[in-house]
Amino acid sequence: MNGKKINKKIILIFIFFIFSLQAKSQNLIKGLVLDLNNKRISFAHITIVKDSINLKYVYSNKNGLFEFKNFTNGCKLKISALGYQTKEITLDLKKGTLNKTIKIFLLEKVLDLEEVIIRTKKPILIKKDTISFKTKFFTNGTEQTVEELLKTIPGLNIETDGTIKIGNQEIEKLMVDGDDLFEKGYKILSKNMPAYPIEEVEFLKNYSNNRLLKDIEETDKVALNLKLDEKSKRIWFGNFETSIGNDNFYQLKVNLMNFGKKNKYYFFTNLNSIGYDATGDIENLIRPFRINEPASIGDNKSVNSLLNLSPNNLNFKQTRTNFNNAELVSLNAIFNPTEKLKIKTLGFFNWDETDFFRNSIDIVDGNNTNFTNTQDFEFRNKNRVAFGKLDFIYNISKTKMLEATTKYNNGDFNDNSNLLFNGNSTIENLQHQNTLFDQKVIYTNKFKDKKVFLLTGRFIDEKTPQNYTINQFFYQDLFPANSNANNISQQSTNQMQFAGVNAHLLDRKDNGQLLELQLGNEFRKDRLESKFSILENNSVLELPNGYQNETNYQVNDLYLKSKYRLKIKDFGIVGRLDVHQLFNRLENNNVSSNQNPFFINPSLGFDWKINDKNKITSSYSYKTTNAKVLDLFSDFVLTGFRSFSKGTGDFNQLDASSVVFNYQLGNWSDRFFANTFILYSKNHDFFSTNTAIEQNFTQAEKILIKDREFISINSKLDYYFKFIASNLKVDLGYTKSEFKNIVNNSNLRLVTSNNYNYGLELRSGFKSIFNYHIGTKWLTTEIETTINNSFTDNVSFLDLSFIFNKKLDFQLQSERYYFGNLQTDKTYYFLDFYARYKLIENKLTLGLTGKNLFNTERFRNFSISDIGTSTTEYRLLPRFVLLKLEYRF
Amino acid sequence: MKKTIPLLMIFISLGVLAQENLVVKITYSEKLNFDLPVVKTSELFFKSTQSYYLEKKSEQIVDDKKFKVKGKKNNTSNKIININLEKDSIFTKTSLDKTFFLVQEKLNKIVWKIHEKTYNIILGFKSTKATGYFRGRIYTVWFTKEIPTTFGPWKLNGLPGLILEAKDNLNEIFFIAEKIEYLKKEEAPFNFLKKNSYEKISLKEFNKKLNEKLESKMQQIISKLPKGSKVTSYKFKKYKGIELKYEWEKDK
Repeated sequence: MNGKKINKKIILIFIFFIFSLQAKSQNLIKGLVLDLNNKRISFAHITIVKDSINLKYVYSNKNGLFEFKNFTNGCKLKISALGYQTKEITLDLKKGTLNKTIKIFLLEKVLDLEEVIIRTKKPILIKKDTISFKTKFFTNGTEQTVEELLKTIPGLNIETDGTIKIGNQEIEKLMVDGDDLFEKGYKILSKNMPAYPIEEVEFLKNYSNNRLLKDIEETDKVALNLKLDEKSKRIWFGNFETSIGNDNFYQLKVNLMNFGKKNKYYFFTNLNSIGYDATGDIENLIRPFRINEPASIGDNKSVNSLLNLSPNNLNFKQTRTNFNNAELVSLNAIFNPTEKLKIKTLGFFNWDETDFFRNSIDIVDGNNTNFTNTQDFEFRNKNRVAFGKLDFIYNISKTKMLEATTKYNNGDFNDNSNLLFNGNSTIENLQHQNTLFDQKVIYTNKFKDKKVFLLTGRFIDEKTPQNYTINQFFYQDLFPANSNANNISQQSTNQMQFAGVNAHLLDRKDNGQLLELQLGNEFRKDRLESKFSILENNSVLELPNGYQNETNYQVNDLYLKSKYRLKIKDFGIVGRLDVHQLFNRLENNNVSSNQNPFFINPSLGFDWKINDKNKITSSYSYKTTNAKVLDLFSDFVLTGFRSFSKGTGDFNQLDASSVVFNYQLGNWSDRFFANTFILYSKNHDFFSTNTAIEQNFTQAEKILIKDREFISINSKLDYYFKFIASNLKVDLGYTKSEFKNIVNNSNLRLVTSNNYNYGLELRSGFKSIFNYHIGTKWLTTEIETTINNSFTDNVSFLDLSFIFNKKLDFQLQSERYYFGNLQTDKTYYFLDFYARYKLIENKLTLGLTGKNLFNTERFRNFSISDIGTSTTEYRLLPRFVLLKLEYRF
Repeated sequence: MKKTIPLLMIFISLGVLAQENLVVKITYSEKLNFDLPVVKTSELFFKSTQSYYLEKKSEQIVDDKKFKVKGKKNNTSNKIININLEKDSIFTKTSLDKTFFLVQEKLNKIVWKIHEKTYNIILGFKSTKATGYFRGRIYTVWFTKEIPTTFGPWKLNGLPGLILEAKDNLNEIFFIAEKIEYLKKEEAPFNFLKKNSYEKISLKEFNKKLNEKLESKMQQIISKLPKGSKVTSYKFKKYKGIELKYEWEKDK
């Protein structure tokens, strides 16, 4: 009995021993992977993990079987297969798993059939109607403002005055994270907002200002959207920059921003005396001008001043001649209090004191008149402008929208000039104000998927009173009776009231054709009053006849406009027919008259996309326009210290025909891109002048003349040379224009002016420390009348950029101006440099700026007109060096 | 048991894909830097046992500006690489001299070294780095175990996860996954090579044909040189592609 028991035990132990030996020597684990339907899963992945370390990878074969050896206790198996949930099991020897095939059941995975799209790291991403650029691929770190950042993005052209164009087309607006603060006044943003928080720049093509018009209206408008990086969103950030230099030159800039999802705030201020105009162009903020845009009635209605004493525009950087002391403060915000309502507020205050110095010698040589005038001007203009705009946008529903915009502008200007006219010391003073109130309401209803109805109402009230005095009396020959006179004054008021209603229907048909109908009524009332007095000291000697105006001009335009766009494959035709019935009423110094003209303005155009590389657009139009109040007042008005002017005194309609042709080869993103533009226009009638020219004064009377022609041809080419990694731009242009006028009782004389311009630019795109940009442009002007005058000017520039390392960079900008017709001093050189050192990356930066290092104090310019030539000398801001400190937060 | 049936039915109605029905599509951006940089968009379709890699349109890049290569108007693939795990082979559809060939080779076993401690997130998936040598180049890749498949772009395979990014040691080849999509088999194309009957040939013989063609072209050019011009030295370089050296070639 005992023996049997012992034997059994021994056998059992023996069997166990062998078993465990076998287990140790074989250590083979076999497995079978199955799904819940007992189907074998082939090529599943099995990972053997021990203590979180992946020891081995095994795969199941086509029959779902796998095996592996050398397994130790405590291992885990991780089994995964495509379309199934990953399973983890712990292997335990003791449970007798050896030599038995372990069955592993996998559960199917519930998958989202959604795409997984990554944020592409490509620098340029093209989607329908949107092209995005990741800025880090294009910038080199020296860009301070958004304007400088945009200059590095290929395809964007920034002009000298800050106008931003995509290719050849100006943008409608510059948005930040989808919201627009300034519309066409975007320069105030691009010139002030810092570039560092911007991560991406989006080009939006076929852009519609009104979201309900997207894909319905025919538009080739473009817009830019700046996207901020994540860390700059929803936090207050900004920068503070102060520069100080010699001779009271200074600049202080502060930007404070917060771009959240619900509310966006942007406050900034700019105080400077270095000639920089921070408003960019106030006009575009106060009076944005949109051609042919739905709901844009009244955009082109504004008051024109009779005279102004401001420096003329030169073919020259305005910052060099603008002696200023400007302070600008702007507060802007966008609120989204509810999902449907958006409120935008915009306000700025600008104080500026600008000085301008100009000396000129005018030689008049025409029809029996020869004389030379010397004028030495010293302007000092002080102005204060306050502007506020309030915008309510209410999304009534997905297809209905109501928008109300209120604008208020108040400007006060005091212009003084100290003038030495032919040796006579003269002081002119012009005080004028501008008050504008503008209210617009737009109701948009997208009543069907492709049909939109807009109803717009607008009211504008604008006044520009002016008070002009001169402390000399130059018009002895005109008013011989007043021999004791020693000063004159002119007071004028120019006021406009506008009220308009417009109903606009857009119908985008299923086959892509677009029909537009507009019915509207616009009423405009202008009141022009001028009082010219001749004084001796403080007493009025005379209010001469023929120099006083009291004009009331009312125009009521009832119109029907229709437009049809037909598209056949790549060929499109646009036909337009505008019918106007006008009711004009003119009251000139108590003499009133009426006129009810009726006219039709047709236009026909086509665009043809021959293929991806060749595009042609062309159009012909015939247009009749009604004269404006400044064309038809009946008595003389002073428009300058030695010029009088008057209108025709009667109603007038002007007819003109024009033809436009544009050929585009390639796209701006190609290596080669060319754009040719031809414009021919003929004015069948136009306003010209009958001028009496004397040394001390001129008197110009507006007359109506027939037939003059204008032609302009311009071609731009872009080519990228790979071997020198540089881009070449060539710009060629020719303009010919005709004019006819009468001077000093001559016959009607023909004045022809021919302008030729040709220029080229080469810009590098090296990835090294150094980069260059060089260019030159010639301008030839010829004027033919009874005498012929011509001259050629040249402007060249060379910009060098050095980026030594992440902390230090250096820019050098030089220009050369050459004036062909000056006797002496024909060439002028300018040199500016900018150096920047980043003390603490993204926080503190030091800068050194030097402008006009050659200290060119004056520069002279030569110009020709139809009656003579003139040489003008301008004073320039002298050399200055600024030390700059910028702090970012 | 009673509970599992309704549970299963719920799973099915939720759009669960059985393993045979699931096709995964990966869109890669393939950048080749031989003489002139070229970027191609390619697509990888795979199930559990097979994969198809299709090369699509290519564009030349100059810095960051792209311009299209002339002549390639249509969107059809020029090259299709099919890896078949069950047959243990790689089939490549390619063309030479306007003739289409189906080139066959044995499935290569790339010896990968997996750097377990590395970690990266690509397209939202946790990825691990690995390096391996294949036909003349050392590839550094990032693969994700979260997608359990051994496939990858071009002929790269053999890792316990989908290869999302790959580059070689000479900086001439880059593959970057841009997009991942899950498709139902009924919607997804998956038999790219079934319909066509191409001339079947082995990889070794195909390469021989390729080199022969290039040599004869070179000879043609030399023969057209004008009178008086001398050819001082003549050396023919092999066709340069992704594969630089084959297993059957001895070290020279």
